[in-house]
Amino acid sequence: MTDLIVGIDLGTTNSLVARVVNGKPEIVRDAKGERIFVPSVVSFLEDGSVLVGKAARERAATAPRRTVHSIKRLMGKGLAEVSDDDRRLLPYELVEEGRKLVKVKIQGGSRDRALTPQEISADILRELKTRAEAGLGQEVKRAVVTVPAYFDDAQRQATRDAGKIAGLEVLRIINEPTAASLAYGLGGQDGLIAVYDFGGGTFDISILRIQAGTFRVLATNGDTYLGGDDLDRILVERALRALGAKNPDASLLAVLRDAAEKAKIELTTQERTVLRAPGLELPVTRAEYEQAALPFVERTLERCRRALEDAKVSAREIDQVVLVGGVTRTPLVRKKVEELFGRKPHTDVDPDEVVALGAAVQADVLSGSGREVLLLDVIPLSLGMETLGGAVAKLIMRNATIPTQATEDFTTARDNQTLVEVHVLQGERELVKDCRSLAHFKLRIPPMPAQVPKIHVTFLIDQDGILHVLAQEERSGAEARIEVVPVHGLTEEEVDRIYMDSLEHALDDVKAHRLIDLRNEVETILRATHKQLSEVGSELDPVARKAVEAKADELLGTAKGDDADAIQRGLEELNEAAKPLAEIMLDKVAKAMVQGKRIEDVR
Amino acid sequence: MTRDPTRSARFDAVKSGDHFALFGLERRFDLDDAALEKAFLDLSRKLHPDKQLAVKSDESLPRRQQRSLALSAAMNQAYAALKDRHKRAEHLLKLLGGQTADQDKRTPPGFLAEMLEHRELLEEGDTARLEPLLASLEKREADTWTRLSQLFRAGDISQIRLELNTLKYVTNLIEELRKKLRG
Repeated sequence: MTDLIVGIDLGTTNSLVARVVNGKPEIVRDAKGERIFVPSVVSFLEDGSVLVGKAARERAATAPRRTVHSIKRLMGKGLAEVSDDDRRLLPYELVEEGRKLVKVKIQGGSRDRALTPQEISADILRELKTRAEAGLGQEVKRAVVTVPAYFDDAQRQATRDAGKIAGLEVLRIINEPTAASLAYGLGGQDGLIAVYDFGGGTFDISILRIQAGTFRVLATNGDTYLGGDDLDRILVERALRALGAKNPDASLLAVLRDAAEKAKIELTTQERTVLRAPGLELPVTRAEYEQAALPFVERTLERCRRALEDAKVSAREIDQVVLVGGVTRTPLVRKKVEELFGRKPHTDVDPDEVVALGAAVQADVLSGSGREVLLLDVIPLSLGMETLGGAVAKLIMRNATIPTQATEDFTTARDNQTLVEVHVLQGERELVKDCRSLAHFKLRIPPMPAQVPKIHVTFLIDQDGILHVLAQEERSGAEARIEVVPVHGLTEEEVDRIYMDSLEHALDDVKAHRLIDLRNEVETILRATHKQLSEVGSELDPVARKAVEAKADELLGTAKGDDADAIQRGLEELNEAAKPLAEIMLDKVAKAMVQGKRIEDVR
Repeated sequence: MTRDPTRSARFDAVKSGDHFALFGLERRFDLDDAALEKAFLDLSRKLHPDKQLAVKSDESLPRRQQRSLALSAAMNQAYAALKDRHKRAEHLLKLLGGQTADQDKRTPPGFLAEMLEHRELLEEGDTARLEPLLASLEKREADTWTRLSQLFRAGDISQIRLELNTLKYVTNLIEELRKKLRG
């Protein structure tokens, strides 16, 4: 039982946990028996506690600056890389601190600081972990987590770091479309599959060849900045125009976002709907909406064509098409995908659940269940390094099967030079400025005359698509020391520190939660006590009655403070003082039952 | 019970750097694609780091995973090198004891001047003249590959070097022409 590995879909809009039971993947249920399907929203309360999921989403309109949604769009990014649209329409404040790492600024409360997307994603993972543990009655320590296939090294690292901060060992990061193909159990039949994954924030297309249980990705393409969020925006922008609101405040945006999402979903089954918000009733037809959505859908089709080209197969050769992500419920999307591939896509597995279910299958494979399945995935974007004049020399080409590696020899230009810097980038363009900067590696070597050192550097991409760099100075045999400065990521030390901090915060959070729980309890017990006093108080000994009233008043006062222990004591004292009152009540109930009356009539 | 496949003697081939030996293939330029694919999938199933969690061994898991990762990466690198005919030709030439492009930069007389002329034409950008140029270069590229295949069978490593040196220019030019003409 301790070997449990779960599959987690950490989505832009929703996050899920799944595991395999009796050979079949299923969504894990929480202690209440509900499937764990958590909106990826985190809200930071003034008292320091953190809400995740549905409760957090409900606060979006009242506390927009403290409620964070779509954090996945910011993973592994710098502030300059966040689009203007995002900056205008995300209600929370973005800042950049230290290196080029975007953070979310939360004002006030115990977390009055800028939080990295890794930390906020960790809050979501922690919620999933806690709820899964409560439901399963066992600890959840290890997980397979999915990411969009088109995520680059920085975004994958950020996801792994989020797991670490949440106290989860991320055994494996797999690509969402690949996971979906696993969930469909298509392994039994050899052939070519296209997985079209249009999620809340990202788009992926993967072309796979299945051969005797081996799921081999031939090519992948996508856009980590294109998703259902963009389609919601079409409607949000229309509503803003209708309202004549040029500089909308955060609350209005939150309300409109909700209304837009609702309207979008209604338009998948109806020809027309009305987008409703305070002071607004905007009729929208499916035709209008689809016309505005078409350019976005066309962009996804262009990506599909490029993936097919890279895979060296034609659209008509594809044997099966699988749809993933909530956006694929849109009739326009289904129609366009069907046109491109000339066949009806599979839609039998819930597009919201399919990725988590596939992650659970991979978790099952890793736990040594004997399932004969192997995933061979690819690196989505070429890896290169900076050369003279700001050009990029490609080291590993996109769509190469991973793990893979490239080796390169470096030397020094000056006598006694002890430092060689290597700038690693990811992307398809020729110039440094057009590629994503991943990291600067500093190779430290013993002093030698110029041109003498021969530093053998291996750039290794592991099975998760994450880069490792190893270096050796060949003449001295010395291992060259490497310092890694991730451009848009956290160093190992930073991750460890945040993890330790989060343990302390967890204590704060627990305290805050206890306070909230106690106050709720106080409210309940006071209401009950007053009710009982008004009903049967006259039958109580006047001294006892005075004591109950005094303790109730006292507790009301204590509950306004922050001393949880004092509130706990007050609750116990009131319970003690109210015992005679409770006895009279019980007596009444007992008598009523003997007389065959319903309890309600007695009260 | 399950033997650790990452310890098999065959993977000495990784260290020796002979990609053909790694996949158990004959050293030849005209590769049997189906045989390479089969060997690649068979090896992947044995070597992939995902398969290590289930393997029973006295050695610690992290060490085995580390080795499996290194071997898988080297194998996939070798696969990519064999799959691409340019890389395959360079690799085979090296195994046959030939020189690298850096060591032997020869080209036939008049070749560089001719390439320079074509480049000037490319920069002028007259589509009507570029189309026939592209067609003739594509023909030339195909012919060179046919010759290379024969030269590899004959083992003429000096001539192979010369042909590969010219091929680099021709292939680059074709790519640029295609970009210009087809976008």
